[in-house]
Amino acid sequence: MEVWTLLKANIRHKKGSFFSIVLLMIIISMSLTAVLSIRKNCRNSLIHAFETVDGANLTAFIRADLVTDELLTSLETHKNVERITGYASIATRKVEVNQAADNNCWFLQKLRPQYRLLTDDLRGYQKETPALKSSEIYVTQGICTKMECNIGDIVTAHTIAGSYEFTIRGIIAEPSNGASNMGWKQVFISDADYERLYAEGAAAETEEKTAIVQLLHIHKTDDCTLSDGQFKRQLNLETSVVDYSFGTITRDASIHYTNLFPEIIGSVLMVFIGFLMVVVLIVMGHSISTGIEMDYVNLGVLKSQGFSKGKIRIILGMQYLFAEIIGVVLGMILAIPLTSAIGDIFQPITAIPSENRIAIAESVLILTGVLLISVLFVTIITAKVGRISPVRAISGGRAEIYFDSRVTLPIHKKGLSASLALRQFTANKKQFIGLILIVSILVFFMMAIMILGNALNSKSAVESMGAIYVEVDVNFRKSLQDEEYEQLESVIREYSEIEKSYYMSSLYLSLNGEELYCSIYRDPEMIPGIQKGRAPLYENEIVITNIVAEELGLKMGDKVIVSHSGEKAEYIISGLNQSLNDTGLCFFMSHEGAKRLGDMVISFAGYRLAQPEQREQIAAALNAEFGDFLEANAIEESILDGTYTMAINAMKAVIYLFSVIFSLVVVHMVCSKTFLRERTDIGIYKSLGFTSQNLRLQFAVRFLIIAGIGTIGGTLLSVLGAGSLLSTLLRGIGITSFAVSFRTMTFVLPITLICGCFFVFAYIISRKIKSVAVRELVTE
Amino acid sequence: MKKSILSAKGLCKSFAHNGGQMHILSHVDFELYEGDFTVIMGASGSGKSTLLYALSGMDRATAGAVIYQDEDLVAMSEKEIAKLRYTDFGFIFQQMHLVSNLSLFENIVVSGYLNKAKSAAEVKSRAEALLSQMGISHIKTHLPSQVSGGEQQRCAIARAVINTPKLLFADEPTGALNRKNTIEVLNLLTELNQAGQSILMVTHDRKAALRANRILYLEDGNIIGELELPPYTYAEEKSRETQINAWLTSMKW
Repeated sequence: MEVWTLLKANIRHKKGSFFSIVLLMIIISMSLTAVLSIRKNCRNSLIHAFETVDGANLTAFIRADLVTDELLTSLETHKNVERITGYASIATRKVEVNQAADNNCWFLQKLRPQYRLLTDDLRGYQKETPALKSSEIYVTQGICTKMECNIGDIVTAHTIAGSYEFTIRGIIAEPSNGASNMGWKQVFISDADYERLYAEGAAAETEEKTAIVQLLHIHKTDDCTLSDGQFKRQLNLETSVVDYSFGTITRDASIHYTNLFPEIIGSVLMVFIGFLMVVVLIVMGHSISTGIEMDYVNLGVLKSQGFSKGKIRIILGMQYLFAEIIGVVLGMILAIPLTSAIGDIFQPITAIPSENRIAIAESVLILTGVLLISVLFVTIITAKVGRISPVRAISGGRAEIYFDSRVTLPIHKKGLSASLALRQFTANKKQFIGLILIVSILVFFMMAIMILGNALNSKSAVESMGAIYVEVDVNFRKSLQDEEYEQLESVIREYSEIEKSYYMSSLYLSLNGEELYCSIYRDPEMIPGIQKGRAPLYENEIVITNIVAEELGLKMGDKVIVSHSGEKAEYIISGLNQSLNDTGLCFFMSHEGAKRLGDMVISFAGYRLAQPEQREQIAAALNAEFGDFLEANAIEESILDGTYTMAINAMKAVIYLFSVIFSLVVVHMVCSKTFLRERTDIGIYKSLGFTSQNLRLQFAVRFLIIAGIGTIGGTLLSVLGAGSLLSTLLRGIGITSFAVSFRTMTFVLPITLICGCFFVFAYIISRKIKSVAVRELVTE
Repeated sequence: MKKSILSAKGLCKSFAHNGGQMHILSHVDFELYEGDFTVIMGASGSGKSTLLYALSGMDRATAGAVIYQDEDLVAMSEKEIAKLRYTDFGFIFQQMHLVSNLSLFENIVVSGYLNKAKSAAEVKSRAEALLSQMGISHIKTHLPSQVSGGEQQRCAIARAVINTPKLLFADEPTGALNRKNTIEVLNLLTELNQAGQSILMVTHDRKAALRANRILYLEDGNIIGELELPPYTYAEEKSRETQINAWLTSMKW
């Protein structure tokens, strides 16, 4: 009972600290619950969508003529295969919608009844999916995001048999390839259109030109304990199905790729939330420590009245734990609308309406862990209660612990407020170490997010991380001779110098039985992102990514077997790189090296221009001059799709907003404590002729000094650790060595924002100084 | 003919108390004269300190006026009052109230630095002189917590006069000191007064009151008696003491 009485009194007396902790925990609990819920919802929604359409564990995209009875029999009789369903489709060479073009394959299929149409607001599913009429098409939301199109727009599908126009009639949920970040797409047309396109495609098909592609849906048996990836490897070893395919995707991989972006954003936010939790612990530690100092006499009196140190520690701990629990509960409630709002941001990417459920069990589990950590922390911090002596406390023990040190930096007439602020800081530096640490953490994270944004919008940074950026791309319809490449370049040079030219092709090849995306370069020295070793200059060499090396246990100098359509060859790993292709699960070889696996054609060229503004004219000139065997396209300036940019900007905004709120709360808590602690000094300064304005400025300058030192720490942390942090977080998309590029704004914005916030907040919060009267110094 | 330096007219001060008003000062009228060492005495709760704080502008009167150089302190803005504190007024507290994270030297100069009329070098030079005069030069780099109460109070006196104030206010400056330190502090104040410094001091210590040439007696917020004395000399201390004791007895002290 006595504990409860004192607890109530403490909370009443320290409302500011109590509500500050509640607010901080609301932010942490709300964001943590929202992130966990969104991750779970995205995954569950996709799994549910797979179940609805009877999605296979493995989908193999195989030229129709390679789907032999022998292959089908070997698959059907495999011990881990329950059933196979084949769906023929018409593969496009290129698709155009509005002004956008997509050179990735779209697979046009007959509409199957289990595929569900999204409602007009895209938040749910319609009860029935109406049959399509002639020249109508259902596309996924991911396509609409990528191609910036909508219902009613015209889709022009170019196949080897000709070009066909369709009107988008609705948005459909296709879980396997529907996300905006997936290259290939599965779309649905009317039965009549399909039959017509199939007949015309089959007639136009030659050995070099593929029109009809079988989508083999392979389902695992229920008792198969292999993961989808293991299942694929096992199946390929025994049936070579992957070797015969020009692409495969497992259900697990599809879920991974579809949810990649929410997962990455979630990971970044989870790390940020983790840092915020550290901030909360520091704030609590500071608040408890200074609280014990301020209440030294009261605590001594309590001890003299028979309160044990354990009881006092329970009272102190309970008041913070109580605030945390309230914050956690309120945060979880507030996470409900937040989860829905953030889910809406990701849906254009994942293309599946997300559930709006709260991951209660996971959130409660993690937040309970967080509370336990803070209980442990409070237990450690309150240990100093044991050192309070009732006698010393009552006889003015506080004086002994007030002003822990003195650094003899002189005070000056010029800049008197600043030099006094500096003295107040140096005299209490222990009190402010926690605050400096908090600023360092916030600034580090703000800078890391700036660095991420900079890199994803920088051509050179993206290239150094293994992506290529071109202003003009060209798709070849035949194999070109060297002199023809030179002719192309001479046409381009009439408009702009060429900074870089890439001649390449790509396909899925089996590396030691693992199907991986392979990029084949005519000029292997152009392979981007090499970090160790060298380019595969000889025909028996390849470069693999760091991720492939780790996944398959390979290193430089190892020999590997690469196979394709029954052909096999041995290669030596000459180098390691990083690449964004297929989230880093890829490898590279020269064109000469690829020829060892059969007749490989260079099918694509990309040009990086010295005058990018000439891209449109160059594409037009190439099409005009060489239109019979190539198709050139001007590539838009932006590196990232608008939705991705929006999501990254949203994440940046969240991190900046939380940093500002945390700054406000932290400054409020520390400022209030400092004010109470220095109330007498404030009165003395006033009696000497300092105005409230002078003293408020002193307060603000002191917090500016703290913020300044903290930002130096944060900047150093960023320079030393931002690359490692981002590499760890972005490993999921293939980045193993993040190319950190600093710009002026990388430093200026976070430093200005945090220092500005600290200065302004301290100035505002120190308005209480006005209420200090010199009369308080009177001893009656 | 004495020259008035500060005057109180109908000065009142009340505090809210138990839902009503408690009147501490009731229509106090008096003049302070240049060069005087004036002491206010009275029983506990008579309003001595309240009067001192109201006169010095450290606290605002509820009604009435405090006229200094034709300006009413009661009507002054915070900025104007603040300026008076570092130009014309000095103040000594009973509990010294030195800034705990500044050395004794810094405690003295900080007030001088506020005064734009003086250069930093002038302030430092005067601070050194005052430290020497107060006998605390050897401990000028010490923090207040590292010196005795008497040394702290001498530092507080030096701080109060760093800007050569026209009027020095002292609220029981010896109230927290032992006998030896009390005498030292009173000697310093006497020295200052003999050098021309006008002083208004509140005290309940008869020994301290000996140093004054004018004593006012306050009761229930009103000045009910006044005693004029010749300037203090050590030789006449005994006879002054007798005179003051008799007067205080007549005031029912």
